[in-house]
Amino acid sequence: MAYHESMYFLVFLPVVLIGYQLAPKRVRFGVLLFFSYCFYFLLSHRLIVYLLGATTITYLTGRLVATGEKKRRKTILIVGVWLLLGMLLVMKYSGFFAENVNALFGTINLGLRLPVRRFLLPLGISFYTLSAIGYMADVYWKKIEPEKNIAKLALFLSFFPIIMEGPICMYSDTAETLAKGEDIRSENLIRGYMRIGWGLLKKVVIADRLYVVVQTLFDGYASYHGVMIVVAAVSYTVQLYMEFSGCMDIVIGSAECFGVTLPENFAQPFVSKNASEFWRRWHISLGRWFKTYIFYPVSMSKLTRKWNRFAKKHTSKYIKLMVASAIALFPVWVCNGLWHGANWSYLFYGMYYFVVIMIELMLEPAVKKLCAAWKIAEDAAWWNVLRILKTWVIIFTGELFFRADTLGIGMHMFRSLFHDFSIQKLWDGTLLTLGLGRVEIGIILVSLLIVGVVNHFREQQIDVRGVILQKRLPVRWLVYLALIFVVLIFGAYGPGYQEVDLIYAGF
Amino acid sequence: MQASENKKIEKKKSVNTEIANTKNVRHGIWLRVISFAVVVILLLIASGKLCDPIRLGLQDSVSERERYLLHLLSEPEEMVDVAILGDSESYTLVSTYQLWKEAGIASYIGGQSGQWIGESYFSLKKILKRQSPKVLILETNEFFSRGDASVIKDAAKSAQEFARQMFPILKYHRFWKMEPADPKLQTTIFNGFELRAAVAPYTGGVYMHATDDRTPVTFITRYYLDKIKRLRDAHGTKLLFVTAPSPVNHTMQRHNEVQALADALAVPYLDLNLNTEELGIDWNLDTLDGGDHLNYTGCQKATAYLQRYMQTHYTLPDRRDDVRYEAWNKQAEEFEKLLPQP
Repeated sequence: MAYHESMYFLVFLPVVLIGYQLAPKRVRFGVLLFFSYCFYFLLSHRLIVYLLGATTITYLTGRLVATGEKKRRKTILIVGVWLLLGMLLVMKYSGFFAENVNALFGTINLGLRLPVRRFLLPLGISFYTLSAIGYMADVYWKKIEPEKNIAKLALFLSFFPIIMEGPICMYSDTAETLAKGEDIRSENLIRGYMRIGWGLLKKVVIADRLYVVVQTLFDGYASYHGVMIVVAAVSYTVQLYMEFSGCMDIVIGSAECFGVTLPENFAQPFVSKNASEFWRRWHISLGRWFKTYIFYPVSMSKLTRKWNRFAKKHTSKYIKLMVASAIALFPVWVCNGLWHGANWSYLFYGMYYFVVIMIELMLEPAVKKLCAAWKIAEDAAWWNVLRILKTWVIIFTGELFFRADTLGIGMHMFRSLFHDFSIQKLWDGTLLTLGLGRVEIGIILVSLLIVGVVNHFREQQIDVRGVILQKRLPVRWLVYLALIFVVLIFGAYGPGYQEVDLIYAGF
Repeated sequence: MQASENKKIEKKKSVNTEIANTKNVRHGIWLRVISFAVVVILLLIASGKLCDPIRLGLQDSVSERERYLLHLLSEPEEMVDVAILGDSESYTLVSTYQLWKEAGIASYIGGQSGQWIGESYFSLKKILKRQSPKVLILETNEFFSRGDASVIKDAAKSAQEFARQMFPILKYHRFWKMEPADPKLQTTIFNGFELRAAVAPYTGGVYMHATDDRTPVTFITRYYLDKIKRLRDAHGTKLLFVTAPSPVNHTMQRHNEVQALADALAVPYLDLNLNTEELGIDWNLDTLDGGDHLNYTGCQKATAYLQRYMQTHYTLPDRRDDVRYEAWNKQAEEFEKLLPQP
């Protein structure tokens, strides 16, 4: 029962809503917890013990870390964090680690071999582990009070809309409203279901339809080159965005029905003018987590301070800033890459952004000087369009490596990009051999246009749903019906289509 | 004094008006919710008519899985004497061509790959609107859940199937991209039977071991079997449970469960796994895929057995000379060309 399946939004969610509303206000969080655990159990069965274990560790660490002397509190925090991280590392990365150590032993002719074990990964472990670590750190830093009621903490970690794909919430974001047990309001319900419908359109009409093209191109990568590699990279990027952001719409819409506001995970990433901005607009909650719990602590660490003191005397401001940035950004991007999975291509993906962002930082003063010399206004439309296009190239290249099954395949595809770059393939019928007909490509393009227009309004801070709700009843109904029937008729689901799992649920 | 009383009355009035307004607002919301739901349902029903593949003549374009059933549902009225339903075991068990050629029995397969008991019920309901089969053969492999299926999954499947039956748009929503299939395709099928001649031997030996244990079916299977029985009673169709020879799927535990169900529902039950020797099944030659399904030669043997059984137990007319079946005779001639020559 994934979020885009009818069983979720037509059966499970309404049942929870009814159960929640019928319950007395003070036990409503208990109802949400009960249904969240039911949801998790339905999907993961006995792997729920890992979630229970993580919740217990987080609760105890939170309680113990709140009081006492600083050194003891720090030790408890480290133990708590490593217990959770240990669980994640063993389950997610031990196989990858053993494989690579064995390969290393093999190359130096050492007879030793580590056992390679693959574990069934508990659903959402990469998401709830980060939320739990964030909670423990926030209690340690005294940003929040430790939660006394374990059930409320359990709900924060397991709330059913966020357990599969996030967003990675901070305790201060959601815990209070989750526990409040507000009445369900008709406006919240309408807004919530509108957002769910919008998410379904992105996921089922666009992403799942593009899946066919992506699968064809990446599975048969050896047969494609030139412009077709560009098509592969662009199609996958669009598929990933539509799928993940669509799923987030469903998630945020579900929470909205209960009056719970979750943090946004996407903010029109394709209007970013550089890679740093892209990561402030794409998977925002992950970027914010890394910034809060890795980037800042490393920036304030002894090593960075030592460097700053040394650099102040011996180097220029520019070198000082660049090296300090590199020291703080490097672990962020290693973790970002590896968070997505135990695979060299993910690590490469993280390193790729580290290098790109460092280059952008290094070139920034030169670009500013150049703009001043050539009298280019920073807000000139043509200049911004150029910068956005440059960012697109960076994004598409990154996603090409991200999607390729192995780093080797990613490299192969990247090299193939420069062979036989015949642009005619875009209109000579080659595109029609990738699994989609003209009408389906048309549906994708029209849907993308609609998403683009809505995103444009969002970028202008216009509340599109609010505007619709202000309209007269026939107009509102027309919009709702159009959304329902576009998804129903043009959705890539059911017989004749392959079921597409949620990509980020696999991370 | 009077002024304060007036104030109290005024306040009470305003509270009452507020309550009445809240009630009105709530009633208004419910009225709108119900009206919207009605509009959605009406549009769903209307769109279901729009995308009906039989009306559009797109039986072969919908999906391979639906093909046989849709053709069965498109047959002229009162043609089918024996309807066969079930999962893939059903359409590899019986050769409708052989029944027609040998005995003129007007049989038709409406089985689907992975068909599930709920689907069989809904299919039967539709079949009975146009046909009055004298016998309904239900292959029993579909009674049992597959893999990690559970009551909850069965219930979910049941709800989804119900929704698809109510609103066909959910099933045939891609009607706008369907193109008519090659008409030649129809010459390779005879009443839901296709030639499957490949051989992949089964080498696992004896698989029906004596035991009193049972593999239970879910209550949802029981529920739909009961509904099928009621449909049968209402239409005077004779129901027959048959289990196709299949070492991969069948066990004595399953046999015991089906036998108990058959006894409870007063339905005759033929488990062909118990008499594979009488049928003459050679597991080196008669299976398509290592004992999962029968191939053409295995199917010929099972059909011969079923034909004898049906001719003994039911009155099934020979329809070969009936003018209404002229198309069937022509189709049989075409189909014959595909068969391996003895």
